[in-house]
Amino acid sequence: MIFRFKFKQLGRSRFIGVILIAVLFAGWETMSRLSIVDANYFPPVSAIGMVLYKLSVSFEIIGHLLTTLKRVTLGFLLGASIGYSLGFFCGYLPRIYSFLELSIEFLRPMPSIALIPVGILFLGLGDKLNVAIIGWACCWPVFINTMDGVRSTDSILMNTARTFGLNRMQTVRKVIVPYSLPFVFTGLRVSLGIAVAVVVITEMVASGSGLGFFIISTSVSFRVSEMYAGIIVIGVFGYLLNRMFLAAHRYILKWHIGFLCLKP
Amino acid sequence: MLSDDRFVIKSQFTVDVNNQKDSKLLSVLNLTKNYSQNTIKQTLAVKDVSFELNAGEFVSIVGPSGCGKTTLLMCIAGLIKASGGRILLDGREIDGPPKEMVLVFQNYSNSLFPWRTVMGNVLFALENKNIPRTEKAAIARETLNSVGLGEFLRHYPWELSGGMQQRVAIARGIAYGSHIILMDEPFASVDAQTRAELEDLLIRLWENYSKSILFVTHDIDEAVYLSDRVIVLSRRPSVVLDNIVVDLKRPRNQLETKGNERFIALRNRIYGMIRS
Repeated sequence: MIFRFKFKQLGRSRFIGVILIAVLFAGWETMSRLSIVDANYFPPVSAIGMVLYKLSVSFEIIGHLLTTLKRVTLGFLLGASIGYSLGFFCGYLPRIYSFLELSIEFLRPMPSIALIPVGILFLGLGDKLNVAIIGWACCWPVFINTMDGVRSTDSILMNTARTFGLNRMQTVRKVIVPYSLPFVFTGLRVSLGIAVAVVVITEMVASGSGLGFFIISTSVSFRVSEMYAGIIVIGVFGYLLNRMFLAAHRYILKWHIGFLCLKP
Repeated sequence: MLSDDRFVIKSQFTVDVNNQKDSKLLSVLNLTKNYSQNTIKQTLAVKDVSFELNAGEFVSIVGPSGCGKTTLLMCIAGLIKASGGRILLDGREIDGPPKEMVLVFQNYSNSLFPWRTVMGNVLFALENKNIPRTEKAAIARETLNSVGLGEFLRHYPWELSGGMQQRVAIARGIAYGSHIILMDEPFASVDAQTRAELEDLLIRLWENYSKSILFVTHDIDEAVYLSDRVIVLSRRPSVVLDNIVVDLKRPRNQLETKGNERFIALRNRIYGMIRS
């Protein structure tokens, strides 16, 4: 029997999800218009939409969005590459890991937010600090998953490589790297979500720009509609980042998605 | 007892099928393998095994399950180190997996690379060969054709059935170009019909590519049907109980050969040895 995997199956139920969002927004709109909720705190969605439009046309929010995007991208890349290298190293050489384990397990649970004050001392306020904090937060999920992936490389595959006369470097490149890639992507996906969460916080606390700063500054100056507009933008931003990531995942790990779907 | 008597009488009339194939290719001499977790807890898997594989020969190793057949094969393939004894390939001792041998694993679904297509999996065997890319592709295509998978080059292994996956693994082994193919219960996890097909395919490949095959199995019928010689191992720790020449004429046929009196006699004889 021959199986061929089709990706079409994935997109069907998304349409219903869009309807759900529309219903929720409509509910909000009516509750606010009918003053069931206080319109000062919950302005109608349409009003927020108008504000969002104005903010976009005036480029006020776009500038903040681009700043946030830059920080997330750089922080994610920095953290992911450190996490990957460290994870690969520790997974491939268990002795190195047992040597580093104590230090790593001490540092890893440390909330990145707790490091903001330290970061301010060394890096000041602004891009560098934000990128560093995001990098710290993104590093660990990638580290853990990469290490697990490398460690769990199937021994039969390793033996297969040996019987075909591959040397160490070739085995790493042709077997361990591709084998661990699905694990790495799990880590990357978790990290990306964390990156969006962390950037908002660091920008609120230690930055004069970015969406996080925009949200907190509109909140304290009681520009409620603007605040919601900022929140919606960060939500959409996170969603789109995840979608982009999934598209990349589907392209790079096409084999793995099919493999999982067909596994009994 | 009856079958033993019959064997002795008949064997006087049989011709040694290995007349023209008597050059020793692989010799295993007093091999032992001791798995030790620590100095106190030791498991002797292989006690004392010696045998030879001649060029162009098809030899099977049978024995009760858990008798150390796989261990033995892993030692010969150079994947694990033997505790004692020698393994000589063309007269020189092996040290790590030699180029002249390739191992086809029992667990085909774990020995094929799921991120590589069927073609890519076969090309993996040619990774270190110093030949042009086009030639590698030609070899891969040719071997895949020979196992009947010429139309599945772009499929992934997990899109194929178990029998087809094992064919890919066999094609990969052949593409590697080594004289000796070691096989570790390659057909253990496919259904009976597929198994019979694969057995006949293997004989065809063995003849066409003039390989020497060392085939480990727990299936006595399979061993007798396929082989020139069957080496019978004892329960663990394993020793060689007997080395039986299978004097059944070739080409063999699933129905005729397996219904043949001689086949049944040989099978019963081996069965008796393993049971006792």
